[in-house]
Amino acid sequence: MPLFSQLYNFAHWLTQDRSEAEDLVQETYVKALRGFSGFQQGTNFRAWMYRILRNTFLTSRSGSKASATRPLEEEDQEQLPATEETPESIFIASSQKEMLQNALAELPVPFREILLLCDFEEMSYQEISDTLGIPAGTVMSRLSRARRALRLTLSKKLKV
Amino acid sequence: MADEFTSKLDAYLDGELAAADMKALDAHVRACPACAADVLGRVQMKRAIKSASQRYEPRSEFRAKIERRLKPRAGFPKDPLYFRLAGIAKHRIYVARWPPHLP
Repeated sequence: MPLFSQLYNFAHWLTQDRSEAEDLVQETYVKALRGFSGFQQGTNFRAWMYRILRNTFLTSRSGSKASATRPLEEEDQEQLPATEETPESIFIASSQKEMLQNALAELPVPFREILLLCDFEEMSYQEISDTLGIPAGTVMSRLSRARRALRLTLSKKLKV
Repeated sequence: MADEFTSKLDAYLDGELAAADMKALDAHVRACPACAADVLGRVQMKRAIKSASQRYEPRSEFRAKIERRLKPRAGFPKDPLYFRLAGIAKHRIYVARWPPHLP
């Protein structure tokens, strides 16, 4: 079944709950089946499926709660410590995959989803733009802020 | 480290810069140790995120449930997404093999 595992993985990252992720994936396929006539042949099928899943998530109870978190701009106010060792170098040295997973899970949904689409799904900026319904320029700036926020979260975790 | 280049490093690594910018940044990274170290750190982080992101697998019971729902049911042969998705996959294979090999 095309995209099933990837969609489930993405859904679980968004909801942080197995049961909600299953409901979300099921609803995504039901909506895709119902609305397939709206899909234009030759356009990006993967982006279309991810868009359905994400929009379904945003209208769900946990999705609307997640999107009501503090404004993303606030992330920019926080500064990374100026040290020789970067969060990356310390992290890589310690190889703490679980710490990175926890840091990703703590990010606000807009940052988490864009990092997953870019670095895990390896979508182009245009595909991400189609999936999230935002301009390509916003994709670039949001990705940059998401990566900065992840570095900040990791550097805080490494200090504990 | 040149700010002019730093701001473009993510797009550079994501393969999203125009050819001319890509060439200029390539040349800069080769000559600037600070940017080269920055690029290395970002590449490692991208790889780490990719590996860490594959975290959740669907349960086999759940997969079976969805497959049952998508397969054509007796008496309802029309409009199954299953066939349509299969159609897209076939179309993609056809496009990928274009031009066809002639005997």
